[in-house]
Amino acid sequence: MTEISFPPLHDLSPGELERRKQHLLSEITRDPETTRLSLPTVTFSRRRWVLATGTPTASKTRMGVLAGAVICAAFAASLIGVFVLGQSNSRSMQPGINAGLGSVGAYGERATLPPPPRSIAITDLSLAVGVPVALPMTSLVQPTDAHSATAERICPVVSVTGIDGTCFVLVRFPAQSLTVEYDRPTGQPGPAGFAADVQTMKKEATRHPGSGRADLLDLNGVPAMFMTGDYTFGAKGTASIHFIVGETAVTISGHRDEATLQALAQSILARMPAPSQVATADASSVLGAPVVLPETSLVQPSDAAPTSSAACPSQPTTATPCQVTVTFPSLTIHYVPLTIRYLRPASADPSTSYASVVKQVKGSKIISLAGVPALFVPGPPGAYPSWIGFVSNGTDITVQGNYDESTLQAVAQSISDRSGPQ
Amino acid sequence: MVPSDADLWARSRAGDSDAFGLLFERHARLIYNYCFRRVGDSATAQDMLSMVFLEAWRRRDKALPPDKTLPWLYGIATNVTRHQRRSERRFAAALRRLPSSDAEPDFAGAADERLDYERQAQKALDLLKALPQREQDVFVLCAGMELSYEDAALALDLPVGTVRSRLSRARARLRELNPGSGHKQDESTNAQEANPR
Repeated sequence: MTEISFPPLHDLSPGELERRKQHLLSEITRDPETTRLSLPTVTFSRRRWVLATGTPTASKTRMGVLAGAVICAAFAASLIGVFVLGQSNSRSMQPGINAGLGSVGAYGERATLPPPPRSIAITDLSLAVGVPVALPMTSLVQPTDAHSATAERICPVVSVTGIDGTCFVLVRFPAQSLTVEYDRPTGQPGPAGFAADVQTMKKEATRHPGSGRADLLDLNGVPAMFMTGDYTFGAKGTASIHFIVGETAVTISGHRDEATLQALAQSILARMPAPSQVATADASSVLGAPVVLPETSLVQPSDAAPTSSAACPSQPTTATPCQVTVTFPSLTIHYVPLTIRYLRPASADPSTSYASVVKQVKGSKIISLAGVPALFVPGPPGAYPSWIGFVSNGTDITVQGNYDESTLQAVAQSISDRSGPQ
Repeated sequence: MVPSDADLWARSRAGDSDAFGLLFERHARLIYNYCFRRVGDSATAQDMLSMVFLEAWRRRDKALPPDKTLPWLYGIATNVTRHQRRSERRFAAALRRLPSSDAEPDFAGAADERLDYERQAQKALDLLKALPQREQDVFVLCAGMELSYEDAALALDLPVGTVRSRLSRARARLRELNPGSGHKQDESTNAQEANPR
């Protein structure tokens, strides 16, 4: 038995119900204009920055609009400012380093709306998700059929350490009536949880006939879920297939049968590299270009973790690039380590991407690293890390952490300087 | 003809307090019981019920999908229970204006019945503490209040898949803590999970 035995539902006494109702009516008619103008100050889950009662995500989900848009900032980390004091990381508490803290605490606990959704270029998918991703490629659909893409919430999620927020990126193939969604990190127990999920859904389907169907699938050794009806991630009447690569969940939805969706999933699985751990000392050879580490008063190359995450296809392309992610655990603020992502090949036209972000993400701006254009995106309110992106010698580099702009810029500048002539 | 939630909400948004009062009558029982299952104390749950609807009124600019008023109220209730003290501070003045109760008992039954409910609720809460807050939210909504995944997702502003997986994880965790028939609790696990990362 796993269920907790809750007390049965019971009624308030009629007198109490009426007393509360009259009180409510009295209060809401007391000063309607004042209450209307007074915005709520609810603090939402410390690890989420979307209004808990805000945009009806579930509804959007059913309408096939699971993702919105944003390259806006950072992975999630968080926990309110007081937890900084509990950090065991002594370096983070040094004078001068705290001064470099980014948005942490600056916004208090006041609720804030998420940044507005934003569209992204299809070629920026991997940049936006935070890990190289592949699009489906079968006789039904080719990557070039992708019509539009949106990213929502905290994108990119470069490192999953300290993360509980999610980056949603949705790619639409309207001509084929398909959508492909990438969620990172999955926020899910992984393939091992699929069986339990399917069992739960089947149980619910028994209680609510016609609500849909859920089944486990095996995609050449990769567990997956096939769902219809209420259990899909897409619009009503669609079917979905759902599987996980590393820390990224992939969901394909559309008015398609199981075999078609399986083929699409297989085509993604075959071309989307699963992340693995490599020695940081070998990172350059894995990336195929120098992985230049920063050297500033804050961070030294020796601070890098001995192992890094790598996700590289056999033949990297701009669409599915090779990525190496180096973390600096001793520079962890609010559970998020300073993290640097190296990605090759870099976007051919980063300036256009930067301009697009600046246009749509409040507070973001283009800065200069001694002449090298870079994009600064502040962490959204609520202790989310900021990041700086730039291209150096054909490598797209992202520096991300819970530090302010000048601190991150110094780290980025150091990498740029140490990379040699551009 | 009985007006739908959507009708009542539309009227509420236009400032019709009577319509909002009808919404209160319609959903007070479930919201009260949800709060009660989250806090285990009937008096606190009753105040939370008031706070949920006061907060809902303040947010009446919100456009809701048809038939999603109740899940949205559950979302507010979740925030109120999650941030109980802050909510109490915010609505302290309003609650002070609550007329004193007459002599009738809280429940239609008697004090014994209320105490029995509270004991059951506290027992459930002791077990729930083994779960991280985010899993508690999903578990009580889905398993306790029998919300669909979709409605729980709307209430918590989560993707449906996340609701599913959190519920699955919550159940798995409870299975681990309760391999036999009794719900064994591990204090160290609780402490760790209560303050994740």
